[in-house]
Amino acid sequence: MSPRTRTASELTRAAGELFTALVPAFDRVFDDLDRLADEMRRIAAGAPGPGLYRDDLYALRHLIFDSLERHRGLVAGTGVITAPDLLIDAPRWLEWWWTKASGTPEELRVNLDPTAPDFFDYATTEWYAGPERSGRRHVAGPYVDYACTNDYAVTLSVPIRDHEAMIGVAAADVLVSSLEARVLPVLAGLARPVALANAAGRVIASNSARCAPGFRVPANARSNAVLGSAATRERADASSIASWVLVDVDQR
Amino acid sequence: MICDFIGIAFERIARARGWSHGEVGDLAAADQSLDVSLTTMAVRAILTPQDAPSGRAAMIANRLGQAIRLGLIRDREQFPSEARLAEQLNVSTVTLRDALARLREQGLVTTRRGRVGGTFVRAPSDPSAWLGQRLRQLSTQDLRDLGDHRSAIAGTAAYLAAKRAMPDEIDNLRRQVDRLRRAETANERRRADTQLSIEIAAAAQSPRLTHEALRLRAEVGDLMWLQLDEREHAVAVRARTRLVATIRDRNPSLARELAERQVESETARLLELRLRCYSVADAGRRTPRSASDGNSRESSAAKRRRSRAESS
Repeated sequence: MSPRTRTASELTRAAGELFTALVPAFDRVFDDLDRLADEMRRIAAGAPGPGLYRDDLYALRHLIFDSLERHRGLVAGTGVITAPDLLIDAPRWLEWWWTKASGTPEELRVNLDPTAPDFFDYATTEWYAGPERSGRRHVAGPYVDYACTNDYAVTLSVPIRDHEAMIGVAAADVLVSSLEARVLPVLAGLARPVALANAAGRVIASNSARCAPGFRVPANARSNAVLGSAATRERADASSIASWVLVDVDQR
Repeated sequence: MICDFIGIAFERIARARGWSHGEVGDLAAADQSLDVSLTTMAVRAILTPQDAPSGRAAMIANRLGQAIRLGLIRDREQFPSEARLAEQLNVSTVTLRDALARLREQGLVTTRRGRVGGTFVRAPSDPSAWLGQRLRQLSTQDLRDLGDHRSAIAGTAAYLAAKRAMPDEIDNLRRQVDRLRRAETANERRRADTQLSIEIAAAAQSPRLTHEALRLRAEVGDLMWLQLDEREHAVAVRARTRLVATIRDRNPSLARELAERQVESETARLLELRLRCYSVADAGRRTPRSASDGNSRESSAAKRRRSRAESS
């Protein structure tokens, strides 16, 4: 076996291991998001009058708090974000809660006035527009979540549709630091410098000091293995962590 | 006292029923974006980990005032109940009440009683009057040091953004520059520029730099932009357009240099304004004092300030 083939097979094996290490945890979060989405659909369908109000979303809170509690240490914030103009009394709205260090859920407040410069234009974010476009589970980031946790995070999101109409997304933030705890034990065992990156080439975690989270994967990186295709080809979904890649970042 | 009990009782009922948004009155109804809480980002800009417990009320009043001037808390916005706001800012209600009283004195908030009562923001209608007052609190050394700090943050944020930003983040930066270009009032411009500097730090993938950019802007953002005329605004927009293009072209060193140069020119501008304050204040003092004998403590302080200004 040539050194290059050996590297490739080592990468593929590690990619498969990572996929196995991450997917069950992510799936459990996604399952909670599905439950939130179902509840949101139920609320939308059961509204007594024409249209929904912010108050109607209070019924989501017990699910949100349960989910924060269940995924403590992994999920930093979660909730439902309504499609623009869905609610009568708020053209845009986030029923979003996050956990501070103290452990109590805190409601997220952002500026939702489109004329304001600090307008939180969520409909253009990857975590909203991504699942809206694909109709499927989506993992966005990593990015600096300055509106909420002020930390480096990825966002898991699912679209919520009422028949064909988009009524919002259910989403959860996972801090990159808590992902690292699951990723680096796998990468640490590898002899070569490798980085786990998203499909766009942004590093999520790496066993090399020269390639820290947030970096772009070097343009001349040679071999890589897509997580999803390493595990099962059917699951190589461009919008989920199956599209994340393990990249050999050896610069020599 | 009774009011406090009612406030706290209402807060308890509200919490028990899961309300988080106070009833909004006629004033609030005029603007649907009014919600009775501060944005998470505003709270973060107001609070910093280094805040010492001493003089906390003054500090909270100061920071809230800055957040109002910076537009993080908007004109006519209703403050949350005292209990809720104290909780958000992590201070006692006594401290908060003291801070609100200071803001009332400065005319930055107004409190109304009754069913639609509460504490409402009153953004200063003439920010330039306040600008002079704020500038006078800072020495030229303070301003220079602030410039050094901003240069370090803005320069590094631009440098790292040029290395790390992805195409969607570049698009976002461009949208921010467009917003700045279109902004017409001094207030809008200063807020659009604030947001741009925060987005650049976010494109650098650094939560710390993002936080620091926000905090520094809360400190000085309100000093900038107020006195820019149309030509100067156009120059500033061009400079930022070039900075974003440099970040897009992945030229980290040039991006750093451009960002540092921007801060330098802004700092020079503030220093000029500050020096002008000295001469205006002294001119104002000299005339009446020379008529009387003028041997008060205040005039010797003015003399000290004058000689310090001259030697710098």
